[in-house]
Amino acid sequence: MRQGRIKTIHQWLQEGKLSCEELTEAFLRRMEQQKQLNAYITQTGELALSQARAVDGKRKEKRPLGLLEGVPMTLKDNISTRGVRTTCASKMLENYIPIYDAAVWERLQKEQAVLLGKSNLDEFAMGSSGETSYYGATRNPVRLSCVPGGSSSGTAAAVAANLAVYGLGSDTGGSIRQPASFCGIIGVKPTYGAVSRRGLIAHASGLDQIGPICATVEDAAIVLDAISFCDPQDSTSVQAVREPCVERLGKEISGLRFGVVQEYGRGTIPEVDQAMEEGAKILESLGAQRITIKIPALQCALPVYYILSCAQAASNLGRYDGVRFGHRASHYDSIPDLIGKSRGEGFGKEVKHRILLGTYVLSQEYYDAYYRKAQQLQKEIQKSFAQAFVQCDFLLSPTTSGTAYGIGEKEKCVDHYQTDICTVPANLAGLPAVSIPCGRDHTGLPIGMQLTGPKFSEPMLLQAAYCFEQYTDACYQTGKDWKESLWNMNL
Amino acid sequence: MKQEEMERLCQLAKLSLEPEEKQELTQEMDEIIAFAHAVCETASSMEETDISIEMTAPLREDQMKQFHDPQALLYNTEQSKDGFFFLQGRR
Repeated sequence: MRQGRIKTIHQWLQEGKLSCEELTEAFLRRMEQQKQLNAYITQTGELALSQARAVDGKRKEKRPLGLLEGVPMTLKDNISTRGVRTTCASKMLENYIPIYDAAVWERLQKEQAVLLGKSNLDEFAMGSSGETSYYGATRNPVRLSCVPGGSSSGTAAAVAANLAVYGLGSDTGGSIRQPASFCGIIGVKPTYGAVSRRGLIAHASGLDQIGPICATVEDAAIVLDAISFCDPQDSTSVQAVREPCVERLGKEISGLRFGVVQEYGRGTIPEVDQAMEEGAKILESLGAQRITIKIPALQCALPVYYILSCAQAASNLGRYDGVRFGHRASHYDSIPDLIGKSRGEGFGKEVKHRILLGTYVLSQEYYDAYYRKAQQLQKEIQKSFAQAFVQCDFLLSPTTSGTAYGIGEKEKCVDHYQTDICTVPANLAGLPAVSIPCGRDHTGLPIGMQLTGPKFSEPMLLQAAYCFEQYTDACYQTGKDWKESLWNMNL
Repeated sequence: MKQEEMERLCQLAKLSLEPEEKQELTQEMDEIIAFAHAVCETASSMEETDISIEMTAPLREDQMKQFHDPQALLYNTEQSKDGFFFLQGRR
């Protein structure tokens, strides 16, 4: 079985083939060389090196290292890091420095992770392309003229371009899975409540989840196990009894049933449909059984998602008023004028769209017609998934109906919204979902396949994804010579 | 969307926009609302939900604790005075 990047680095460090400081310096040099990707907003070179030296101190004492110890990684820049600027890719938080760490970052620091920097994103995690950042668009490492996807654009680009071994992103409507798909890597959205949201700067509190973006399924399993815990300081964090994901890797999937969902429709390019059919055949050849599933409630999932997420976002972003933190307007006539101008100046266009839509659907005249109805339809969708999972163990679909498009190609925001059609249902139902590469289009751009399971079925989903990955070598195609390229990174 | 409706929406959202920006957003909001409108035309008799997953976490006990560093709360504000967030009435 092919080994992931985390275990490879762990082995190198444990065997003394290189020091953690050398490894970190190599990544920092590479980040400088690949600045055109604009994957990072803030680089934390000094912090990374001091963390690396601490790990080297432990190595010199011949103490065993944990799997994640000394492994260079990145955090999406909406995850709070004490003392390190956290901007949400917005002018509003350009100079904001959190006074506390997010729960996931606390946990990874205990594991002695090395933070290379805070990665770029769509502003306040609102976007599907990586183009709405105040700090400029991120580029897709597979093709620089294309978007990497969003909103975890920088995290996905960094991992795909070997500017970090792994990263944490956040997913509200597909923001981990879609960029993972566009960049040809793995993205996992956990079950809602599986990972603490404490310290994640909120977009839509009922939908947000932090999850790993990695080059291989094994890496994703290791990271997901490390960050999944019940946090008493997050009231939506749930204690779920499940086995570690890594223990299921390598087990066969014969006997598992997967459902192909009719309502996701056809891809926008024929290669997506072909890749899905080939993917389904491969799963069948590995012993899984295919069935066709109908979930009619999914037809309205996209507008339901945008109504609910924008309503929650409008509420969450109400805290940005220029008073306690964030951008403050320099000229104003009154306190209300200060607040209005601070927000008008601090937020970008897409954020304003979503705040306005959220305010509209929550307003007295439209609340019942839009928001209340969307809540009812969300319940329908949840019930439909529960019924589907009586018939099958997991669902198979494309992650997105197309591949990465050109930067600036989609001008209308509703055109961007359409790329979320396959990803938002999992968020509405709080279900876990994994995106794994399953092919390329005729120009060479990656195609992603999504596996969605019942709540807390991450071990089973990653088991199936691992079988697929090992069989197809799909993930390793993106980093076939990874070990060599990493070793040759001027070490 | 009419201009007056956009004005009211901006007031509710506490967003001050320049006239050109307001005009542009008014046109774009028409498209966005039309996109969301599909929900209104879908029938449902289901009881609404406000959660994405039906599992709850036990709430911890309410225990008063002294915040370890009250000064840190002022760290990110533009101006503070005597332990308060400071806003000038007019600038």
